[in-house]
Amino acid sequence: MHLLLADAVQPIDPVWFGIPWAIVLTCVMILLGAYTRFGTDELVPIRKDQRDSTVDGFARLTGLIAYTLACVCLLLILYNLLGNLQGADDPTNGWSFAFSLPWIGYGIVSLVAMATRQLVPDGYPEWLSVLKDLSYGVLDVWSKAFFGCWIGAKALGLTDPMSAL
Amino acid sequence: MDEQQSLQGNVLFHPSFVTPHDFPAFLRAVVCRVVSGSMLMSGIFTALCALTTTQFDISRASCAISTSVNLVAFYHYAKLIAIREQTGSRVRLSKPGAVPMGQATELKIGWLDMAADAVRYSDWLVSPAPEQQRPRVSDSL
Repeated sequence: MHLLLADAVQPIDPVWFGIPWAIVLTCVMILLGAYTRFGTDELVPIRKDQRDSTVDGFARLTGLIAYTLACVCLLLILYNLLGNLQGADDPTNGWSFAFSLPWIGYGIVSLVAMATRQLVPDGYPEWLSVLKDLSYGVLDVWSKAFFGCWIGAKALGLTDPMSAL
Repeated sequence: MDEQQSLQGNVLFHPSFVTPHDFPAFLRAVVCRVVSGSMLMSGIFTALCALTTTQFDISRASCAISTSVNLVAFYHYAKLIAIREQTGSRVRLSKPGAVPMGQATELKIGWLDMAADAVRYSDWLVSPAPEQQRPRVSDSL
C-alpha cells in the first residue's frame, strides 16, 4: 500500500516512517495480538477457585496491555499510511481507504471474542468460532483477494478510467 | 492400542476428540474453501498480471508481492480446512498417555480454535515479510 501511494498520480508520502518501519510495527502488532490470544487465551478467566490469584491477574493485565499496544500499533500504521491523503485528487486514494480501514475489523473481531470469553469463561462457544471464521474470511477475501485483483487490474491499466480523461 | 496410535501425532483426529457439532463440519469447511478458492484465483490473476503488464518496476513488483501473499494465504486456508474437517491438524500431547478422553465439547472446540488461530496468526505474520522485497521508490525514478 505504501508503494501504491508513492506510485499514484499525485504521490503521497507517509506521515512519519517508510516501509521498513511499517513492517516492523506490523510484526510487533501481530506478536502482541498473538500473546493476548495464545498467552492468555483471549483473557479468559481461569478456574473459579483461582480467579483471584496473582498469576491470573498478571496474565490478564499483561494480555490487556498487549492488546491495547497492538491497537496503538494499528492506529499508528493507518495514520502513517493515510494521514497525508486529504485533498489529493486521485481515485487511488479512495481505494487506499477502502482497502486499509477494514484492517480495524480484525481488531474488532478480537475484541468481540475477548468480551464473549469474559461472559462465557467455561469452554469455547461454537457460535463464536463460526463468527470468527466468517468475519476473518470476509476480511481476508477483501484485503487480500480483492486487493490483489485491484492491483492486477491497475497494473493492466483497467482501473481508474476517469483519470485518463 | 487405539490410544497408543493416537499418541503418534494427530490427537485432534482421535475418535474421542472428534465430536458432533451444532454446525456441521462440512459447512464450516465450506466457508474456508470459498476463501481459499478466492485466494487461489486472485493469486493466479496477479501472477498473470505480473507476467503480462507492460508497466515495469512498481506495478510488476506489486503484482508479484500480491501473488505471494495470496498463495501463502491459500496454503494457510488449506490448513484451516483440514482443521475444520478435523482431518489434518497435528497437536502432540505434552504428557504421553494423556489422551483427551471425556472432555467437554466446548473444550475440544477451544483446542480446535486455538489451532485455527495459530494458522491465522502465522499467516498474518508471514504476509508483511514480502514487503521487504519491494523496491524503494527512489530506485525506480
